[in-house]
Amino acid sequence: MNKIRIFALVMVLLTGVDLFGYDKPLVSETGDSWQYVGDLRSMPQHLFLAPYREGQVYTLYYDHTASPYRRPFDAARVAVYGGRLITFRKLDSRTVLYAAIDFKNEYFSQRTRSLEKSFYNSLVSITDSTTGNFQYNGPLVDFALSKQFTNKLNWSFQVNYGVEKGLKDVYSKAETRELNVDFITALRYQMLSAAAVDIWGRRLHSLCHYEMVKEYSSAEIETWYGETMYRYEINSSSVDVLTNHDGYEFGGGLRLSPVTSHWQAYLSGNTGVEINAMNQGSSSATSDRGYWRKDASDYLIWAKHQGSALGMAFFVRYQNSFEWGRTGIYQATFAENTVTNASAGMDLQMMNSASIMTDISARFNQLNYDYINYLDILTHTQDEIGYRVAGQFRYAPYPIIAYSGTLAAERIPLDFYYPDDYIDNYSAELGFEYQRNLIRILLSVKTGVEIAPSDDGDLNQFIEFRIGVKQ
Amino acid sequence: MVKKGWLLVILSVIMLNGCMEINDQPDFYERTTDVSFFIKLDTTGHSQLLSDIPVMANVPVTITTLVYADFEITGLTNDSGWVYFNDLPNANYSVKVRVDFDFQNDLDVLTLTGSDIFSVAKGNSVLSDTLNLIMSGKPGLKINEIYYMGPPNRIFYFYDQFIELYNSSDQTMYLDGMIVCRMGTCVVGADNVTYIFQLPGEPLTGREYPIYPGEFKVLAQDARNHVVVQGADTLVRSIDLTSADWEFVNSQDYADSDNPDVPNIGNIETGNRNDFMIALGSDIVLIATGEDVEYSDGIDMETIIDCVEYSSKADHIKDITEELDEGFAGVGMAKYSYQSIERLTPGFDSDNSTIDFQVYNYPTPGFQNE
Repeated sequence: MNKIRIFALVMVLLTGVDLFGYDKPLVSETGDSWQYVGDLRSMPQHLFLAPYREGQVYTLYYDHTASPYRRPFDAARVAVYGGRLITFRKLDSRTVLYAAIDFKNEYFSQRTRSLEKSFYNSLVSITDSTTGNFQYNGPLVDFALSKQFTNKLNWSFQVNYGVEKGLKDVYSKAETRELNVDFITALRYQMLSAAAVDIWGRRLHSLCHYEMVKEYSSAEIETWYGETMYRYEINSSSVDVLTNHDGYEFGGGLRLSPVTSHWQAYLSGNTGVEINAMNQGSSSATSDRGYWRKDASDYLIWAKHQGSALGMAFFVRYQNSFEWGRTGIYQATFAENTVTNASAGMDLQMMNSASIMTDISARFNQLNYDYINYLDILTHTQDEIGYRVAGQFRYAPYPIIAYSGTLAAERIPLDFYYPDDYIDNYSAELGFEYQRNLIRILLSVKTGVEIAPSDDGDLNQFIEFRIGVKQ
Repeated sequence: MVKKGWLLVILSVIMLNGCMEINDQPDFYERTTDVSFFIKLDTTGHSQLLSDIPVMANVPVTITTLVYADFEITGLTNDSGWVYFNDLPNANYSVKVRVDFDFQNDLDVLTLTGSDIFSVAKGNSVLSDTLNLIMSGKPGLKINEIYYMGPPNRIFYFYDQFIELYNSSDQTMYLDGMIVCRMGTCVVGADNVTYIFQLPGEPLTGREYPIYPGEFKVLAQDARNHVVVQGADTLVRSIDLTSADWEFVNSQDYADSDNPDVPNIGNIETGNRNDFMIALGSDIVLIATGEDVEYSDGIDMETIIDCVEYSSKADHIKDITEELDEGFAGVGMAKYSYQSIERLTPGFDSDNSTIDFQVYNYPTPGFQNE
C-alpha cells in the first residue's frame, strides 16, 4: 500500500514576475506544455517587457511538499520559503529598470544519499551514503533593463545572479556553494502593424563547489554515471568536487496579431546546449570525473481566435533533446539519451454571460525516451502517451467577487527512474477571489487522487491549499 | 539616445559570448574491450616433480576493479587453459586466481595463486596476457597482514595500526624473544634499523608464547578500542583492538597507552621515545628470532623470519634488497582510507610482496579477509 500524501500550502503575493534563480532549465524541459494553451502575452518567455510604471512589490512565500512516491534520490519532503523585493524605475519615457532580490530558503528533508540539489539534471552526479536533511539558502539578484528604442523596436536585457550555500546535517560539514550567473537579451521588431519578429539569446554559467569534511563519519562518496553505475571516491577525510555548469540558448519567433482580425498566432523555435563538467580533488590537483552535454530544441506553433462569446486556442509543439555523458579518466561515452516530445492541444473558452465563463481544454503528448547506458549495459526505451483534459468555470456575480472551479484528468508520463511508466491524476479545485481596494485575495483548495499502476489501483490522495494576494 | 541603446545591445551580446568549453562526443564507447588470459603454472623449483606441465583447465579466474562499486567477474578457464572476459569497462583491474590443485603426484594438493594487474583504456579493443600461477614457498611464521593506513578522519589518527602474524606450518612455533623492527633504507642486508621492539622470553629456546598451526596473532600499536576516541567522539570505521594478543609499548614514550590486559612488546632501542608507528606511505616491517639484538650494525640475515616492504606508489624504488623481499605491497592505497594489506591466502609466501599481498578495503585483525 503506497499511499501518497501531498500537502502544500502556498502563500504568494502574485506579481507576474519571477526570479528563476538556479533552477530554470535551458531550453524548456520536455513534458511541460500545458501552459501553451495560455495567451499571447506569455510568448516568448524570454522577452522581458517590464510594465511602464514605477513601484515596489514585496513578496513572501512558503511551500511544502511531501510524497513517498518519488525517485530514489529525491527528498521525502521539500519546504521552500523566502522573501522577495522587486523595484521598477522609469529611467525615461521609454526605459524601465527592474531590480529584484530574493532571499530563498529551501529544506530537503530525508534525502537519501544525494548531495546534489538536482541529482537527475545531469548524467554525472555525486552522492554520499547517508540519508539526511539539506538546507539551501542565499540571495538571488535580478536586474533587467527594458527599453523601447522606437515604436517598432523593443529590447530587454536581464541579468540574474545568485549565490547559494547548502549544508547537510548528517554529513559533518558537507557544504555546497553555488554561483550562478544568467544573461538573457531579447529584441522585438514590429515589422508591420500585424507582425513582429523576436530574437533572444541566453547564457548561463554556474559554478558549484562541494566541500565535504568528515569528522568521525563513515559516509562513502560516490560518483554516479547514469544513475545506475557508480564509482567509490577515495575515502579520505575530505572531498572536494567542482562542477562547471554552462549553457547557451538562442531562439526566434514570429508574432502575428492583425488588428482587424480575431486571430492571433505565434511561431517560435529555439535551440540550446547545456553542459556539466565535474572535477574531484583539491583545487591544486583536480581529477576529471565526467562530462555531460545536452543539446535541445523546441518548436511551437500557437494560434488563437477570440470572438466576443467564444475563444479558441490551438497549439502544436515539438521538443527534442539528445544528451550524452563521458567518463572522466577514460574519456569514453558511457550513456546516450534521446528524448522527443510531440504535443498538441486546444482550448475552448465560452463567455456564457457577462458573469459566467466556461473553459474546456485538452492536451495530448507523445513522449519517447531512448536511453542507453553502455557502462551498465542498460537500455531503456519508452513510448508514452500523456494527456490532460480539464473543464473550468468562473462565476463573477460582482466585479469584486468571483468563484471558480476546475475538474481535471491527467496522465503524466514518468521517466524511467520512477517505478511506473506513468501516473494518473484526477483532481478538483474550488477557488474564491475577493477584491479589496487594490488588493485581490485568492483562496483555493484542490484535492484529488493519483493512481500509479504499481500500486495495484490504490488511491493516493492529495490536498493543496492556496492563499494568494495579487497587487 | 538610440545609438547609446544600440551600444547596450552590443554589450549584452558580448556578455552572452562568455568563454564556454563545449566538447564533442567521444567516438569511443565504454565496454568495447575483450580481455583473455592464458593461465600457466610456474614450475620454477618444482620441475623435477612434474613430468608434464599440467593444463590449468576449469580454474576460476576473478577480475575486480576498485573503480566501480561491487564489480567482480569470475570466469572458468577452458580445456586449453584460456579464460575470456568480454566487454569490460575502462578501468584498472586486478586478476586473481586461487585454486587448490590436485597434482596427483608427490606434490599432492597444493594451493596455487597468481595475481596481476591490467588496465583497460581507450584504444584497447583486445587484450591478451599470460598469468603465471605460483606455488607457495615453505611454510612457517609469516607477517600475514599489516594495517597502517588509519581510519577516515581529519585529526591524523593512525594509532590503530597493527601487524598480524600467522603460523602456516604444521608445527607449534614460539614467539619468545622475537624482535619486530621497522627498517630504514638498507644498503647491505638489513643494516638500517629504525625501531626495534622485543617480545618477552628467551629467543629460540623459550616456550612461553606459542603460536599454533593455523593460528593468527595480532600485534597492536595500541591495544584499545579505537572506535571511541576523545570522549564521546567516534571513529566509526576504526577497530577495537582491546583483544589484541600483543601491544607495542615504549616506556620512554610517556604518552603511550598501555592496556594492562595485553602483554607488551617493549622498545629496546636506546633513545627511542616513540611507539611502534609505521609510515602511511612506504615502510618496511621485519620480524626476526631475537638472537641478534645488537641493532647498530643491522640484523643478521640468518635470524630474519620474514620481511615485508610496502609503498603506495607504483614507481617506488625499493629500500631493501631482493634477499628480503623481491617486491613491495600496497600500491594505490590512500592515507586514512581504512585499507589494509594481507596475504592472498593465510601464510602464502613467495618472497615477493607484490604477488603475495593484496589490498583490502578494511582490516581483519585475527582472521583472513575473504
